[in-house]
Amino acid sequence: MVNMENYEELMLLAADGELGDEELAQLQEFIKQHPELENEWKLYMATRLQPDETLVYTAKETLLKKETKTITFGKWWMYAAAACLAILIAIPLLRTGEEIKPADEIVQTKTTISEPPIKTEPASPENKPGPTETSEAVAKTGLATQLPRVKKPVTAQPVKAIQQVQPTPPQSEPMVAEVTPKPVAEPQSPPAQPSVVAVVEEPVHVKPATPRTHQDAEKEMFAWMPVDEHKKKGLNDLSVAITDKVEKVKEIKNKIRNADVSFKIGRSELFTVKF
Amino acid sequence: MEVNDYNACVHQWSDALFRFAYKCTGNEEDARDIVQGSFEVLWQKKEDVILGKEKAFLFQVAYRQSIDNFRKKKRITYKEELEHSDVYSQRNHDLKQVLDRALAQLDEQSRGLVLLKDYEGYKYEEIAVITGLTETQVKVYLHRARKVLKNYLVSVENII
Repeated sequence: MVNMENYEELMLLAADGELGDEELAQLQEFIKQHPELENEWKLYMATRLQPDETLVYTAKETLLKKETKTITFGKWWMYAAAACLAILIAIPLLRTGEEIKPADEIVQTKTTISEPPIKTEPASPENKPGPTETSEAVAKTGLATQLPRVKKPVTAQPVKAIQQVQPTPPQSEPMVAEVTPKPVAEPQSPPAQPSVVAVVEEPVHVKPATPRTHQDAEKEMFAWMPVDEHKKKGLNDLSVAITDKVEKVKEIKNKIRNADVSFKIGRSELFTVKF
Repeated sequence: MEVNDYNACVHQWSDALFRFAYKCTGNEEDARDIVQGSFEVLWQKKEDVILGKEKAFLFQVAYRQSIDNFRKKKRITYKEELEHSDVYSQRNHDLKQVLDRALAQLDEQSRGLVLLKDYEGYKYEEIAVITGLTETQVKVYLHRARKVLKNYLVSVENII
């Protein structure tokens, strides 16, 4: 309801555009009924400003932004985890290539023939070793440089060399006692002892004095093994295959050493690791 | 907000923002600075601005910068416009120019409220959000400003 107490407030609301249609109609009706308020009504409506459309901002191009390609790393932690995993996988490969070496060391089984205690005595006619003993001593000393031997039954050979795998010292002594007085030890076979293969095997890591191939060493290693021939061939083939794999890993390692490893997602390169 | 949305805001609101800043400061260079500053803030806050509220955000920044600009300079004049206008005359009853002078009589806050109301058509509650005032305060300050403008128009009419 418009009255003389509230007409000015309604005029101000109308000038602000906050008056509803019904209230505006009531106000206009009230003004018609009171013509002295007409001029005031026009002045309030004249206070409404109109935007000057001629005023424009002429440097819009300085405000514009250019589109740029951005790679969002919302889940950056996933990419970081993938990079760490890749590095962890690469490190063992590099180290494996360094650790794997060609079989330079040859595992030999040393065939030792235990001797009766005629060892370090000075040479004397009595203790002069016979030809058989000599050959045994040579064989013994030459084991370090000789190839592993196939077990050979020692029968009527150097009598002193013949001894059981688990010899009993008392048995050897009598033999020694028998031999020493003679300048040339005659081969004597133990009276009631069958021919015994005296073999004491000890795996010894011996470095070859002369350079030879890995395959040769393997063949020699397999040769003395107490397995069938066809199994030896299989073992040899397996050895060859393993050697090939080792060589391939070494090649990969060398390639990695001479190249840079770059990590990419799609076509975007994240980072490069230089070895 | 993407780059395309930002550039659309530049094309759509830069003119209106410039007019508002120009009427608030009375100086074209200051108005350009305000416009550039407002859009720069919009770009920096592009992730925080709600789509559809870019205009209100821009005018909010421009209003605050115009208030700061006025407080730095402590005065506002339309001297440049008056001196460079070929059609200006003391006896010119052009309502627009009279209103511009009347607008200069208002304080910076009331002037901004009137411009937001008449130039951009914001409601009381929207002006309250932009200016940081309450809706009641906006209503009271606007009514006071309109009375000042009306009385200035009456005084001009009386002089003429």
